[in-house]
Amino acid sequence: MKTHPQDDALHQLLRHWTVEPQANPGFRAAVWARIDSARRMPATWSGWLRLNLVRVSYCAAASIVFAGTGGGLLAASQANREREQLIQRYVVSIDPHQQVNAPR
Amino acid sequence: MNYRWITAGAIIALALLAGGASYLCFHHTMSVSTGQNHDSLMWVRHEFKLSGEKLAQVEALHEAYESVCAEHCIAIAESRAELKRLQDAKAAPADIETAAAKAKAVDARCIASTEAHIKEVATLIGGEEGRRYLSIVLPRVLMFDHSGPASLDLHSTTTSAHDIPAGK
Repeated sequence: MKTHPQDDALHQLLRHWTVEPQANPGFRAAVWARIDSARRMPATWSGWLRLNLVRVSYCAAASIVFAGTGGGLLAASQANREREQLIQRYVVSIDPHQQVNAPR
Repeated sequence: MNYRWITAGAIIALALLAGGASYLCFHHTMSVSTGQNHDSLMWVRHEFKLSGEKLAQVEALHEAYESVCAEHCIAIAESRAELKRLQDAKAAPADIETAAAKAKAVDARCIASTEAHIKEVATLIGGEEGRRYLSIVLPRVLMFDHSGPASLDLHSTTTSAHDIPAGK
């Protein structure tokens, strides 16, 4: 097979290339920590929930408060809009000018 | 599946439930899309919690004013039609001025009549609620641009504008 002259240069370069990894002193400890953490992982969801009760509770409470407030604000704004429509309907019913000028 | 994702899903479901419940709880206003779409007095009844004799009086007053309002509608449309006819026909300026003055007088009479009716209803409602009614309704009538272009087609207005009160 015919090789490209640049491939030879690349081979030369790779032959002289050496990897000198820096030693990570925390590597072993990190691996063991991960193994330990996996060992401590509960087998069931309820077990996991019990283990993370505080965090999950805060998160759930914040989400519920946020969604509840959002729902309330949305409802209030919609109710306000509907009230405004009803007021307008009443005003039109008693104001001849608004009846005459009303778009059809 | 990772427990974190299950928990996140459960929290989102709970939040949606809370949002929906909150929406339903707060959305206690009367719905526009109920069966009483033709009842223009619905707002007055609901907002000022009218019932019994007071409600009957307000309804009677409203009903009585409907015919007055219809007459005003016709008068406004006719005076504006006459003015427009004269303007289109390039009539004598004096005639146009007379017609414009007449239209203005009709406008003023209608505004005064509507204002008087609103004050009458406010007096019937009475007290703080009557004042609140006045503060909501009166500005909407007085601030309306009464000189706006009028539709002169009276035939399409009479059924929609002068609606039938509830229970009729």
